[in-house]
Amino acid sequence: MSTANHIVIIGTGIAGVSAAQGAREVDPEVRITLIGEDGYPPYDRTHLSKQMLKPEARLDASSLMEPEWFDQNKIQLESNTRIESINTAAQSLSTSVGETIKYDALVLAMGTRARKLPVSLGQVESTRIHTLRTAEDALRLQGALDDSKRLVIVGAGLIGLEVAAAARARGLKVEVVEAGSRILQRSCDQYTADRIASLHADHGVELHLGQSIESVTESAQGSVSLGLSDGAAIEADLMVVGIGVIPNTELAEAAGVDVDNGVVVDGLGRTSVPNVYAAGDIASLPVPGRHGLTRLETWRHAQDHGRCVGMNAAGQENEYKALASFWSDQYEQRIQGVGLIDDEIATTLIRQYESGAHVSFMLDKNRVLKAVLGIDTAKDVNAMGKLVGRVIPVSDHELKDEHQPLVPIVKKLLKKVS
Amino acid sequence: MTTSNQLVLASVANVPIDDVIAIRIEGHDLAVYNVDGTFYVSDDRCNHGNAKLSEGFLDGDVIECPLHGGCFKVTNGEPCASPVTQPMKMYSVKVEGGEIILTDPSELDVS
Repeated sequence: MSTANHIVIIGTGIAGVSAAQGAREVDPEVRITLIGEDGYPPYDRTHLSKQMLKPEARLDASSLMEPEWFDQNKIQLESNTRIESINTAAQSLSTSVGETIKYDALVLAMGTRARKLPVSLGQVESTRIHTLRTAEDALRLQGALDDSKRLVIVGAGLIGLEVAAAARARGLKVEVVEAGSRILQRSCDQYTADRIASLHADHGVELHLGQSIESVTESAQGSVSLGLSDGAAIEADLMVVGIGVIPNTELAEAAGVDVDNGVVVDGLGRTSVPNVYAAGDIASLPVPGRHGLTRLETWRHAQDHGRCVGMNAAGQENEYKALASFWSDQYEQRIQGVGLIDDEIATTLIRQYESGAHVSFMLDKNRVLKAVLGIDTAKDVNAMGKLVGRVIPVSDHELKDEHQPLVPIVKKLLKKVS
Repeated sequence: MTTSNQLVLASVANVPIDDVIAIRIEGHDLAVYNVDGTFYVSDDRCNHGNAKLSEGFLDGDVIECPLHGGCFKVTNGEPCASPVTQPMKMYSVKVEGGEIILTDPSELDVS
């Protein structure tokens, strides 16, 4: 049972909804209010760069929960309420229409917003230039894809490449500009990234690597032109910018909550201010095996962290231990990974199957598994993912040998340590 | 392969112990689980997201969805870890002559 009478959650993404779910699991009676400002019932953001970019896709197919779920779980959903300020002394929120909402526990789950190109580059506010983060963005982009023949994407991260795949499926000419020397620098090992790059090339996507944007101009004919650092220019009808996100910390900062590239939380999701928690990709949190604070930007993290923090807001004290993991669908392929790629990785081993599917194992110098990643090897990645953070006492040969099923190897190791 | 109105799903030998495989029968994708020599069958596609349970991790009699981490008991299909809330559809099976047999193929028609 919680000591709180009213738990208020700001943000209706998967972190906020999971927090509500977690709080309700812990306390059947506590009053729970879930506040969003975009007017939509909670939707699954992962659909926005995949299913929602198909012709005539509808947003209601991407609901996170059945509409009746909120009533059944006695969760008061306010999807059209903008919070202007938090008064942490009075434990209350002020809305944009002058209302005051009192809370006993507050969960900040406002997430992130898409980073835009700097205005110094030129006409970056053009209506032909899109980012993709919200339902509005997806609906707008869906319409724009209908009317366009040439798309240029800035940023070869997961979102940019998912949009590239969706646009190719619709027959657009697609070019991708990336400042780094390869694609998927943050999320994938070199081998996996190379395979994804070939996949896109096979589907007709033109990749421009190691190119920064020097200028953005809109022509009178209704196209946008990107000037690249090598002097080349790309003309397109439509441009999508996928260069990362910025945490929505302004409300927290103004309220005096500690912020460091995200709202700072401890292992229980508590911020620097009593009775205020933060969950999902807005939170900077301690992550096992990593120094300092990390902000994680995956759906699975937002779900698991949201639920854990929601349970804590309702009176429990659960340490968050879930491993980072992600997936991405591109064309017919699914990339999955568990763990985090950082500069402690000393060895990457590849298990290659005849079908073309593969698994990459990333180990540090002490043979601790840091991350495991694969294309169309969900089963291996999920099994091996159980061992992230542990020393792997298995030879390179055994890990790489595709004729030795991985699941029994993992189960044997799990038995040994438990 | 029909034997007196029963459908053979797989050979016992093809489902490793403590593991799960995918099969396709009459247009249906099913997951076949081997829990210490006892076999269970459910729909393969998780009722929560776009994922195949046969690609998940089977821990005892609990299958973990590979995408969102939801869990089901494979003995009865009941959800046992969030975010899943609905039970998985399960099928009645028996083992005969080293083969796993769907005892009531009409279960395939009701979805």
